[in-house]
Amino acid sequence: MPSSEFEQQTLISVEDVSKVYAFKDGQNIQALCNICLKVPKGTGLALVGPNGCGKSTLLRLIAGISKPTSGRIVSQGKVAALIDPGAGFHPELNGWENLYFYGRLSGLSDKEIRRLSVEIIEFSGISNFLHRPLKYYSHGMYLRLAFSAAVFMPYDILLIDEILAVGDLQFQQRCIAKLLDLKEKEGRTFVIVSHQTQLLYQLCEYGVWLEKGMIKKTGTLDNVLEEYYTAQLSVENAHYESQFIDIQMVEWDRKPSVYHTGEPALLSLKLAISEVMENIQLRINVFDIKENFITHLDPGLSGDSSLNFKPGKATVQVHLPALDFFPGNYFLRVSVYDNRGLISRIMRIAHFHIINNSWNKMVNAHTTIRTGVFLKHQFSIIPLGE
Amino acid sequence: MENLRPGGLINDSEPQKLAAALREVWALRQAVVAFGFRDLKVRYVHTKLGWIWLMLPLVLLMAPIALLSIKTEFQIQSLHLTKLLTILGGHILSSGMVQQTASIWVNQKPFLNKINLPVLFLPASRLVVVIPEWSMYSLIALLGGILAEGADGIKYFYVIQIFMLFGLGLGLLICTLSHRYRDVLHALPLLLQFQLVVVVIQLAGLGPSGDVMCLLLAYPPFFLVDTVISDASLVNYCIATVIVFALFYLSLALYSKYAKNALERV
Repeated sequence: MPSSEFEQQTLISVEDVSKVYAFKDGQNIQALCNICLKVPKGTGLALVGPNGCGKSTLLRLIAGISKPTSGRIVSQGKVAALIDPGAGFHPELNGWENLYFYGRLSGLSDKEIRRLSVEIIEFSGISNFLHRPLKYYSHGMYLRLAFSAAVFMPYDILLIDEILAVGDLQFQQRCIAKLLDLKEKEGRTFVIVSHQTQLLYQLCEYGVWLEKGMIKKTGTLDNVLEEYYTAQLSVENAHYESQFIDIQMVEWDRKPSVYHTGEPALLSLKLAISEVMENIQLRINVFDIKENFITHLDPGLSGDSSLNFKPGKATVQVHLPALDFFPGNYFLRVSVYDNRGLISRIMRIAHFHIINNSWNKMVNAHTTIRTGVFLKHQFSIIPLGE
Repeated sequence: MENLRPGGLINDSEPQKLAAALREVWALRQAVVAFGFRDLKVRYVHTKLGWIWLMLPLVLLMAPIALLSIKTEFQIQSLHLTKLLTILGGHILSSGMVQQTASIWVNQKPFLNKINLPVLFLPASRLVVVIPEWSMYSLIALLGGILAEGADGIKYFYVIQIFMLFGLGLGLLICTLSHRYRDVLHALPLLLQFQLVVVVIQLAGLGPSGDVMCLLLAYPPFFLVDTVISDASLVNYCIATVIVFALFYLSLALYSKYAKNALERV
């Protein structure tokens, strides 16, 4: 039960909400089932889960776009739904006119719109095109204007559904920086649906994992994502399967696969091969849980660039004398190539966890939250002459 | 009642009440006007005739009727111009309003599904979109009526408003029905064409008599036309008003009740 202080700060309260879609053929689909959530002011909440688990439906209910079948949602503040940037923009009107209309739709006065439009135009970086009708904008420019308009509007709660990949990389970074700024300085609250893990880590502290319309787990984003991705490993099969070679198992020599930094480890891959295969290349990529590429294991790096297999079952072992990673969660992607290209691949497999207790004493906690390769090193102090 | 901060929202499973829907749309009235004017602004973009299109339907509808009037001995000759313009203007206005409103859920679904708006936002904005025709026909009826019949002529202005209200009410009703029975949208042009034919027949004084006519007069536009042509008493105007207001209230209440979740089915 939340404390009274927490209750006071609660901005979104989802109370036992269910949503059933009734189709004309008499079939009913339960999109959400007895969802209970509280989102405190000034926090970022990530909704994660597989496609069709009810993330977008929940977002639409919080936004008030559709009504729940039972239960209720109380939002203590103005809600903006960035489900589709530019909803309400008209292609025949120019940028200025669309901005004006968007501001009106957000309940702003003429004076407020004029004040904000200066900032919006500067942020969007398309001031040269503002007098032209929207239909002459490129898709990127359109999204820039729409996204800029949305983030500058005076909302308390911003709901974002998979649309943060806006414009070029530089603009994306500006958007994220702006959102972070709004959260920290103005206490705005975000509820974000995205499959971009890195983005979620930048904007959210808490996570909710939805599965088949029900809450599977809530908590800090780290915990939720870790469990979510671990569970995904058991259900995700090879994304790219060959009829000649099958990656049947990839496992570490320790269960659970928890290692200290620098410990040795053995990785085993069990393969089933249906015909003679020569010049096969095996590549293992290591990613952290935010899906950042960390490093790459390849027989070519240690001399033998390719492998040859006979029909039957085979085990490939990879000896790692030292798992030199910073503490964190990691997983592998195993790919098999022949001369023509990729023939088999398994994603998000062999999840492993690196810990190092001694680092907990450090004042600067970067090493406990930043994953990456640990380079062996030594600091020494050379006293200067007196 | 829970204390909500400004801009706060309680979203529950209860269907929306009409009073609440009206309060919501009133709070966002400036946006309604802006939305309506936006659509009005782009209405005649890239047309050669531009605002002339406002007058054209009336002129084009008047032409064959004028021809009919010259070539035949029908009743039309005995009607003064204001009556003719009021009836035809009212028909054009109500037909336009029905067409604007009936397809809101189908045409604007992508927009309505991505932004939280008061349920009556779009119907209210349609009123803004028809302001030019509305003003023009109201002015024609008012000036023509006063010139022809003095103070009594104000009734023609009133008839235009009743036609307008009927158009909005019928449009909302068809829109509400369209989420379950899409056929109504396909039947709408037929209904409007039938309405026009019957109105012309009424103007020509060729309408059927007896039970068939009684049945037709149950439909508000025909009743209104009959009232105007026959210079009926104030009672007839009151009856027309009550029928049209009842239809409008019913349509508005049904539309508000079903608007949110109906979109999932459209």
